[in-house]
Amino acid sequence: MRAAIPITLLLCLAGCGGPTQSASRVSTLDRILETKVLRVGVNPGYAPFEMVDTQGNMIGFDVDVARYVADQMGNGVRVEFQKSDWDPIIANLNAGKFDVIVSGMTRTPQRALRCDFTDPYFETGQALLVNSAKHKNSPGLSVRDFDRAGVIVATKLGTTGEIAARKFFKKASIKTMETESDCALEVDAGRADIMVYDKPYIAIRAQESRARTFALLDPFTKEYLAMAVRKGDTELRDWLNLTLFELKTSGTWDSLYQTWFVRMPWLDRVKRPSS
Amino acid sequence: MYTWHWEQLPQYFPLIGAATLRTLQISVVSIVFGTALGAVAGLMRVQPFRPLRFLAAAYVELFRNIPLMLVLYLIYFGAGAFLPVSPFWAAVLGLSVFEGAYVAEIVRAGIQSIDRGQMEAARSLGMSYLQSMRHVVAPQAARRSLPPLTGQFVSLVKDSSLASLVSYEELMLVGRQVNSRIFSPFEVFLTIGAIYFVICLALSLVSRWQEARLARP
Repeated sequence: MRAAIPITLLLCLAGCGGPTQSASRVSTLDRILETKVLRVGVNPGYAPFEMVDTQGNMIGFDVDVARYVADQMGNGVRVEFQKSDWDPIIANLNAGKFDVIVSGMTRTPQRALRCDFTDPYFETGQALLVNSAKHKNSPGLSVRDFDRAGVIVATKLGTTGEIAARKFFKKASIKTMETESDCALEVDAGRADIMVYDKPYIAIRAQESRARTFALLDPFTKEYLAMAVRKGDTELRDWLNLTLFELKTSGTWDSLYQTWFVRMPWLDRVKRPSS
Repeated sequence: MYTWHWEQLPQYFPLIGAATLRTLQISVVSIVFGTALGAVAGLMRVQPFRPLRFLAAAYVELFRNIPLMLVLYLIYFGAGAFLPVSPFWAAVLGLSVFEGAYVAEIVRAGIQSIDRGQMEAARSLGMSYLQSMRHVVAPQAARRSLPPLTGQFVSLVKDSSLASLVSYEELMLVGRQVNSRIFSPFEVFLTIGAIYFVICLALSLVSRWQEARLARP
């Protein structure tokens, strides 16, 4: 009999329609203008898109893009970053925890079933970080060489890295980790042969652990990073598309790219003194 | 409104089934090791030799006052950087050592709940300390410890979900992997929750039956 209560609870949860979004009829865009806060969902740790510096501040390419977007809204709108784990980030968006995801998210058909994407603002692809004790770096080495039994592939849970890993390394065994730095640690320590992840991150990480790893940077997938809004938030999405077009054509995008991917003056701001 | 998408779930049942088996496996192995470790530490806490008593107390207090997640991280990411340790054994080690501390307290309480007269009577009959413990005190203590031990085993099954953090593909991690493919958190996690519920309930029922059996003289 004691089992009856939890079972009833479960049935009730399953039956009564679950959570609902705030039922207000005001559009998200209007609400942002009214409250003067644009709530942006991010999953920090993805260098150089979203990182936490030594002072605890959010910095990165996406952070600057989000600030640019808020600036373009005018009216004193400011950005409020809301951190989220990666795998429930779309669920958090739909639950109303923030208005837009700006977190290096690749648009995929599967994700687009649950949220709406803007036009892409960044083009990238998957690359490999390789343990150099287990594999020799030779000019002929290609991604296909790692698709065999016994190879351990580390990747981050719920990312397009995981999707690509499962697609391209069918014979290898896949290990899904919590964060990108956990994946890189697996390769550093030799508990994984390779890490599959977006090229910009792999490029930076390979620099940091030159003694133990090398990178295969030629991307083997094509991916387009975009912002995500709740399904049906078309007003906000259309406005973001226009603003992202401005970002690209005004030269701002290029200068941000220079800062975050070429000159990289931010490296000192995320380094701990010891390393 | 949340739209339900139960129809996408069945294709992942084989994956979820395999993960359920791994959750059972890691739980059973950790329960065995954790109980053995806890029994030893618990006995050490009640025996007369002071340094051993102190050692056991230090172990119990240390692991009862730090989070399990931290223990797992220390083993897998800390020690794992120079010792080859698989996710499975890292999780078993972490869970056993952690749960062992709680089991030790249950064993200690069980033994101390037995009237002193029992030990004294056994000793006066010429039994050694170990004989008295083994034949007189421990059987009675075991009977009293069973209910709290079951509670601890149920906790361990639930705590095994933390093995997902060191990439062991048990129920929780596979649930998250499936959710990141079909984006249906309620459907996936209600299912996973139901599986944990059934495992833990079964465990409680088995122990209640055992309890009733042991209660008979």
